[in-house]
Amino acid sequence: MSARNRRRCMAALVACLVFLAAAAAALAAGPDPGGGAAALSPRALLEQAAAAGEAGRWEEAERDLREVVSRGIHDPEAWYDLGTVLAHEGKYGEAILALRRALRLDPRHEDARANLEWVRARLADASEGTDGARDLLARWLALLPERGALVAAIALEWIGAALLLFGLFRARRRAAALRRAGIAALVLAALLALPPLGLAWLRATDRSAVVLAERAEARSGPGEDNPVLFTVHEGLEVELGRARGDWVYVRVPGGPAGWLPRSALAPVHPDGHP
Amino acid sequence: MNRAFLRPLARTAVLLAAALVLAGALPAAAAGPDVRVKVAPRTVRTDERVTVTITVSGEGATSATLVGRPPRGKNLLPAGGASTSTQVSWVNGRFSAVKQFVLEYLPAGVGEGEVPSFEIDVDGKTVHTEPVPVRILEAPKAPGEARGGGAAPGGNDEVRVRTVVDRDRVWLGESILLEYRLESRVKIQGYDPDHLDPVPGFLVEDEPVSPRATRYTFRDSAGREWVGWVLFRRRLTPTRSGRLTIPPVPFTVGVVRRREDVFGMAFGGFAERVGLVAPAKTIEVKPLPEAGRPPDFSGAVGSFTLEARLDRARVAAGEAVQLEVTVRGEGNLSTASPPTVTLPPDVQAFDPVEKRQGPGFRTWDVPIVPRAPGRVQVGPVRFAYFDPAAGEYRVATVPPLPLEVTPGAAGGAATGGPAPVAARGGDRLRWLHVPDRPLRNLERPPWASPLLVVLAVLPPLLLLGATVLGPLVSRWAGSPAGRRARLRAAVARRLAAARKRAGAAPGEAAREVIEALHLWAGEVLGEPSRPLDRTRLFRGLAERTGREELARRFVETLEAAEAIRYAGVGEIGRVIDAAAEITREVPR
Repeated sequence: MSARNRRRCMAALVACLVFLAAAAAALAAGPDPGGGAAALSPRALLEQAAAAGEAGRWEEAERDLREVVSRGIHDPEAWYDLGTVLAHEGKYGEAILALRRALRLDPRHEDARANLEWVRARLADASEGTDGARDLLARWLALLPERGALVAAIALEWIGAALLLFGLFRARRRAAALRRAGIAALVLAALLALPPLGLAWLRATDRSAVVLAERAEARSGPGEDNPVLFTVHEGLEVELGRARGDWVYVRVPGGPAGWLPRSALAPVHPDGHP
Repeated sequence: MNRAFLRPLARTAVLLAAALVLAGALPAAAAGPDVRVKVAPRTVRTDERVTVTITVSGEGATSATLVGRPPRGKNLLPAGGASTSTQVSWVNGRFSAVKQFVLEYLPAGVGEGEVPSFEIDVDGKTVHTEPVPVRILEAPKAPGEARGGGAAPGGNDEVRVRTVVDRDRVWLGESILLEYRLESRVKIQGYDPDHLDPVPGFLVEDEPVSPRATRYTFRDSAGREWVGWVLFRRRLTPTRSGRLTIPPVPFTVGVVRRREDVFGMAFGGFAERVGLVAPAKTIEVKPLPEAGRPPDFSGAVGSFTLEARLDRARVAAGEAVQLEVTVRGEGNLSTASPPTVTLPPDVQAFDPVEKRQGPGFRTWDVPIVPRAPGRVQVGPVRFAYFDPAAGEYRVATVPPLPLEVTPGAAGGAATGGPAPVAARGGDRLRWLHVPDRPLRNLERPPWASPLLVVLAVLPPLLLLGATVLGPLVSRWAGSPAGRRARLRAAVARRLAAARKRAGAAPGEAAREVIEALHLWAGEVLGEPSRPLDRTRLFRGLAERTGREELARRFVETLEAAEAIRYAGVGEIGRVIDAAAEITREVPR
């Protein structure tokens, strides 16, 4: 390789590294501001909540954790801690909602799964959950570290593109080999990008919800004047359907379907109301 | 005749006649009620009916009533209620009142039968009739009649009532499902009764059933189509062991038969009431085994699961917390006692209160009051039952539930802070996490970051651009303009290198100048210029450029550069400038 080509390769490599660093910075950019003068940082709030929980001051722990998530920090550990605290307080509906949100963000969070089962076992309505096949798929997709896979995919994408470009414009002895290597890198990048993108898609299309009302009557139509079909209780997980006014059509997994007041439910996706 | 004599005589005769009339009427009026029973026929086939006529006559007959529902007789069952009629007459100067009760009985067996004794109330006076024996003969079977249909009397090849049980051998306390099914080949108008009596030896739970919704069809062995309905569905739970009999049940069914004319053509139908008897069933009830019986077994037989939850995980000492316990499953939950709860000494439990009950489940609330602050375990909760499928006792258990008890308003002594409720593993909640990494917002999808989108999209765009632009660039590079551009670039690189080396290595700088000049000349002449001598080079350049002065300057500069390169004579800076000036002239 001539000195000029070596210089070009180095320049391309540096460009790739710069882009990768930027990508990593973009992915890692989170809202953990480190705390201001007036407010504790989310992490400090989490530590404070854990200490309160250790001392059995569950209301205090709940308040801190609610503060964390109200700041828009949808971290699985924050939702897990909130769900666990709510379970201790006997607020099973909200506990299930928080733990489902933790699992939605991190499908391989085994402690959240265990606590979710603990709470489900204490519900008035026997619940199988709404996360069967989707949960299985999410757990499989989450085998690779989500952020790492995405950064690696973008890195490989850049390397593959660079190799292809070299292969296209340097019609010399190794051009074909460069092109083959470039295509292989792009294919690998696509494979690596599939799990994180699939997880993001699963999160965006999550239509499950949790009954928060102590008791709610599902009716045959959207309105109080329709006959009652069945009764649901706090903590039951349902699948959301279409909405009409203040009523939402829900289906109990493996069970009946009917219209419930919107106020009786909370979607697992924070913006998930239809 | 002396009228004075006749008057007293006539008066006496009238009085005598009146006395005679009264003497005849008074005994009739003064006689007590006369109750007679007539049974016809006294010998009856199982497909016939027995008509019982009770006639009450005499004083107070019009007010006579039959006490209670018509009783069952030996091998005879009442078909519906009694019909009554009253007749009052004055015959031959005698007042007569007669009241009749007519009842129909259906044979429920073969052999000796007996019309039961009836209780009649006449003006507050109770009269009991004597039982009347009858003889019951087997009715001849019609050809093609389904066997085991059970509609013995009145059951025929057109309509029948069957008694169906899901099991005939059960454990004591194990429920069985009993159904009475009406099956018919003719149109049905209705049926009686609309409710059934209790069954001796069993606890009965009637399940609501809509006959219309249970309609089914089938064909018998002769290929005839039948339609069936479930009239009643009952869940029976035996209360004692041994051979228990579910007695036969009489039904009266209204049917519509087709009427045929003399040519065998159907022309309408006529309604008829048919008495049917759902046959008796014998159930063998096995006693529950003594071996392995848990001490807290309360008689539940079936297959059950147990659930328990506290309505709160934290409570102040002295305050009540509700332990909700639910038993679900198949079996006789209606008689089951609540599950038992094991509690520490400083926790008090009150009597369970039934909260909900439905098909297949019962829920109780157990009020629990902890007396001292700290952490207590409520439970385990146990429910012992007998599993008839396995033939053995089982215990459904819920592990202890943690309950955090804080000091009460009365000022219970704190115990230095409760121990952590949540611990890893087991049936307890897992503990809170504090991650080592910064908290992140994973809710934001990757495509929400513009930088990431740019980074991801740019490589394919570059590749696309290169693929599209590559051929254009190649074509341009082969054109005169492209060649000129390449020449300019190559010459500029040589001269730049010459300037860079001019100070340290003038000879090398001169070599770069010579290379630049030959590159330029080769492009102008269209052939390599290096082999040409000076004269041919001068002529060629002058001819191609049309400028002798430029050709001359080229040759002079080339010679000057060669002088520096090979003899070290000359000023390289001026040579480089001259070469740059010459090569700026673009060949056409």
